[in-house]
Amino acid sequence: MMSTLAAGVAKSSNPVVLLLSLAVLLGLARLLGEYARMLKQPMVLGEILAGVVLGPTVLGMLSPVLEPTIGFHFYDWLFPAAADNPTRIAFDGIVEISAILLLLVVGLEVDLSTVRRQGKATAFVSMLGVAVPFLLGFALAYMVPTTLGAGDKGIEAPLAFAIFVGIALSITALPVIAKVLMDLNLAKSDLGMLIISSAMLNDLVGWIGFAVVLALLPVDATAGPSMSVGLTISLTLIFLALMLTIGRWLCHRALPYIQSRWSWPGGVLGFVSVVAIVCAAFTEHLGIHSIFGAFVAGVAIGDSPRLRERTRETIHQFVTNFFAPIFFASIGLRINFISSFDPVAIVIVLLVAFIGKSGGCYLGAKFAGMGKRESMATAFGMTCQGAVGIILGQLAYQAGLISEELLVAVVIMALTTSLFAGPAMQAVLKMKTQRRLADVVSERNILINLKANTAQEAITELAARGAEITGLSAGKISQAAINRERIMHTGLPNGLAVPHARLESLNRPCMVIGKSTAGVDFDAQDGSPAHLIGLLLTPENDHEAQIELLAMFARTFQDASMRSRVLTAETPTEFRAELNLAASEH
Amino acid sequence: MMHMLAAATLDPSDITRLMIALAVLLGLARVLGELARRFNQPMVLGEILAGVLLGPTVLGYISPVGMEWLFPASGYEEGRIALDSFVTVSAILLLLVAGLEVDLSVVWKQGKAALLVSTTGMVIPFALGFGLAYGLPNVIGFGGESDMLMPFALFVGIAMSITALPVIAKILMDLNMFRSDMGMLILSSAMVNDLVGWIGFAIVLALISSGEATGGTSDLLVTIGLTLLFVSVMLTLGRWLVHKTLPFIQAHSTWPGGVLSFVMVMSLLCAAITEAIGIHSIFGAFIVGVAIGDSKHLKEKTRETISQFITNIFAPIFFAGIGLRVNFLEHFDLLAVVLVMVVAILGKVIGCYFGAVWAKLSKRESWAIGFGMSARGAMEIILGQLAMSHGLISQKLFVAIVIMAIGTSMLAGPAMQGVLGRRQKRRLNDYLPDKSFAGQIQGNDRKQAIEQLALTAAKITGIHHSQIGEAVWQREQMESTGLPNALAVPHARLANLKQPVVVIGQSNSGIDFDSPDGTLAEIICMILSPESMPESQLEMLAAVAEAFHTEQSRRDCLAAANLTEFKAALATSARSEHS
Repeated sequence: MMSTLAAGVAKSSNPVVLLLSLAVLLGLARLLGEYARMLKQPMVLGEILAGVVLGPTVLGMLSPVLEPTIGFHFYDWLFPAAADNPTRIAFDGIVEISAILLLLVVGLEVDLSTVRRQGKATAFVSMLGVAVPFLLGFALAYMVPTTLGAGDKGIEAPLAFAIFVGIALSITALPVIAKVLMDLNLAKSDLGMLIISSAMLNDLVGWIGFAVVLALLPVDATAGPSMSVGLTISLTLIFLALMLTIGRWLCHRALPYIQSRWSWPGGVLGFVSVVAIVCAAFTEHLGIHSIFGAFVAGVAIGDSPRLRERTRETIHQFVTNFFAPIFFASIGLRINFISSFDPVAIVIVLLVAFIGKSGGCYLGAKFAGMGKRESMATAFGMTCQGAVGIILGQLAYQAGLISEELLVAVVIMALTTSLFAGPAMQAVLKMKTQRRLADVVSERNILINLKANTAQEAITELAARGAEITGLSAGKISQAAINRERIMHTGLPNGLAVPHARLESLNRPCMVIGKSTAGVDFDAQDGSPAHLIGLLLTPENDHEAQIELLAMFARTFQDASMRSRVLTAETPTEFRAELNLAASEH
Repeated sequence: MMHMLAAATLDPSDITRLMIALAVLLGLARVLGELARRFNQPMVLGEILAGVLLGPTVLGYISPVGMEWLFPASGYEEGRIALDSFVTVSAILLLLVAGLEVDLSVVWKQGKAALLVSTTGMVIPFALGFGLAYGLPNVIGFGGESDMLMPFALFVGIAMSITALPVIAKILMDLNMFRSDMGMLILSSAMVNDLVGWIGFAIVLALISSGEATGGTSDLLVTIGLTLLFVSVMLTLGRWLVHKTLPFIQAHSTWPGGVLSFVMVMSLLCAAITEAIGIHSIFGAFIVGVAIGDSKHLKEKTRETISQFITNIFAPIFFAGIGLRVNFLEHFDLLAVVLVMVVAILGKVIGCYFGAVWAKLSKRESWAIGFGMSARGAMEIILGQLAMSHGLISQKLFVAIVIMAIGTSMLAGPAMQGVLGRRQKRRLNDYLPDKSFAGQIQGNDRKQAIEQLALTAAKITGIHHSQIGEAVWQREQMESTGLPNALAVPHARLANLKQPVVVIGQSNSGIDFDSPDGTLAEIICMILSPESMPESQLEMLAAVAEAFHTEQSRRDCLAAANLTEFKAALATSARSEHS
């Protein structure tokens, strides 16, 4: 009898459907995420889109139409909606755990000591950056709850609804802004630290506020006995205070103990996840959401300098690449983005979020004594809402606080502001994103086996490919590069060479890289023949481009192990894979 | 209405219980796993023990209500379904990692010897196990209907002939034999064993599922045909495709995220396919792991991230989950345990011994290979769990199999060690007992430094400090013990010392130990060895040199304020251990 129990014959999920739905969800989310990244957009955009495609918006519409032809209702089969369907329950359980681990990672990124060091400026920027949009959102939601889209519970508890809208509009997405700053090479600058620390403080305040909102919600009579609002809020605050003081101290103490006695790095991994899950269970029990506990646990643990970079990295990689896509894609699974599309709500939410946030942060930065341009950059940077806004919206929707229309508006607002933050900061600061070789070289730009024996032949060979890419004539390109080469040879030490030319009729810079196993003599100082030859073609009037390409080429191949790895590449794809790996190393 | 739908199938109290159950399971499994490791036992022992403590055997006996609340077995559906599905996913990912470790190219290179060892090492235990099960089905615990006797005997045969790759890899690493010829031979034979064993098991599952369905032999043939088709396509075409796809993904997606997700999607997909065929989902994950792990384009770091996360978070949950559904005391049957254990060890040791002798290895090496290959470990337990959930074996036999798997894993290391006369490699951390940390040394004088360290050493060893100081100082005067990179290793042999020991001192200002590169010593390791163990001094010297090999570890160790921090710095700078 026990064996039947273990097999779960009583009532169990269908493993084929469960596994298949997870695979499809994760696969499509990653695929679209990568597309978004290729177009220089945040990955979360693609991941949510995957859910929209697989959810009622697209697949759910198609499924009944196609049912007669293929014979069964595949949408219902793959993503069963009935609340008592065991596969659905299993799926939801996994999504729940995904959300907890995701917030653990977000919490791990918060570094309290940075916040403290930035001191006054951080306090100004984050306080005004929270207060202004919060007040705007609060006032609006309190006055016109139905236009905006309050849920059933939201109408019962207008105060909670208004606070939620205020918070949703005032939160900043730490992971997104951190990524934008890294792309702009600003992460370690003063401005970058200010933005990051303000965003951290913002996150913390936002989540605490949200915990209060959840506690304020009226409870279903059927949900059994529950705590009073006051008790929940005070327990939440006590939990928070304890975790950030004693809990933090205990983690700091426990880490060296675990690292010295337990297996490495497994012991620490286990410890971090157990602490996160315990805290999640506790906050869930309090009546606020489990992910709040995971977030606070992440903050408490992540603050210890003793948590090794490698442990952090392992957790981070696994969670952001397995659990996070599942979570974000699952949001779209239960919402119909088309039927719940409400332009009025979207425009209001977008405007208030944007004006409130950038206005508040601008004022804060000015108060803190920053320059106009830097203040503007801070303001635009802080507007991005990204994933955190979406998580909050999803929770509020589940709790019945907001309507599906408002959730759609919040999701669209979060995505739009994330898209906007990077380019806006770039424009204000007149900065360029730091590009790497992998950004300018695709497989077409790589020749894996140069046949040439002389510099001239090598240039001709590379110029032929350059001509295909740019549309110019091969003869013209090679002639210009050979003329340049005659003035002075372009061989660099370590087997590199960079023949180059400026071309009048060229629109965009272009680089063609050739690999020569035998080596071609480019008369380098150290006498070594060139194995990696980069032909740099730049427009006549763009003076910076040539230097940028040159620096990129030299920087990428200055590392001996990198050179030896690309030299063993057998196909352009393998070659480019090495470039891509090198670009993500930093 | 949509609200009701979205308002989760799991209500907050379900989620709270689910979280608590997971945390308790994972936490206890980790703690007991670490304890087992401390005693040089496989971690899986501790992890299973955690399940036994939390399951019907102990917790269920003391407080049935408490156990039912945490790990509901019946009634209360939502929490159990969610927990079970998490355990299913854990098992799939676990087998993915096991598959990733199989490297077919290594097997090719080892050629004949690997083939001989693995063939005889499978055939003999299989025959013995098959005979035992067919002859005495009820004694060892037959679980199914009488027409299931054949699959039952086949299963027991396979269970006897499988070998635990991760356990053996760990033992070989501990004995510093991983890269040796013999190590490679053992590993590659184990890989072949795993592969053949799992394919055989898939066929047994097909036999069972076609037995349940009324379709009869045609269904069976279809399932077996599909299984073999899946395996051959995945290991040829699939492997080739993965090998071609990996550089493409690495070239065009975020790194290492793109590859990580690709591996996960592939394993979920193949798991779904094999489940749909009618064999178990974990089989697909295993084969996909083999196909992916074989590609040289899979970078070490990706492999490392996947295996760390899975072996440390999913695996403990899975193994602890096993104990939750079985009462180990009630189903403990001494006769079955002894029979299974004896047949498992005898079959494997004899089989592999003959294979190795046939392949012209020395007798001693052949015995060592036999004992090494007899470790069954985690794979065996997964196999048994599946067979039990299909009603093929009784809980009695399952308990015997779990005990056999753990027993053989515990035996393999010491037995190989004994046969080969080799000793485990020890790290510096193993030589540092409690209170062996002297902290900052006062002054800049060499003799004073030695005296201060001798004081600390006296407290640990019980030998008078003046005797220690005297011996070390005499040795120091003969030739100074400064090493390059600001290290010093004053040392001595002592007649009345029982255990080799190292005492650590730090000096921020540096003490002159006359090192060849002229640096002042900042970390001073006093090395004391018993006169009766002359080789221990060299071992400790090697351990010190290895420990402070990198700039990072020297810096971290210098910053440590107590022994725990010092050991943590050493442990985290060493190469990661496989559990």
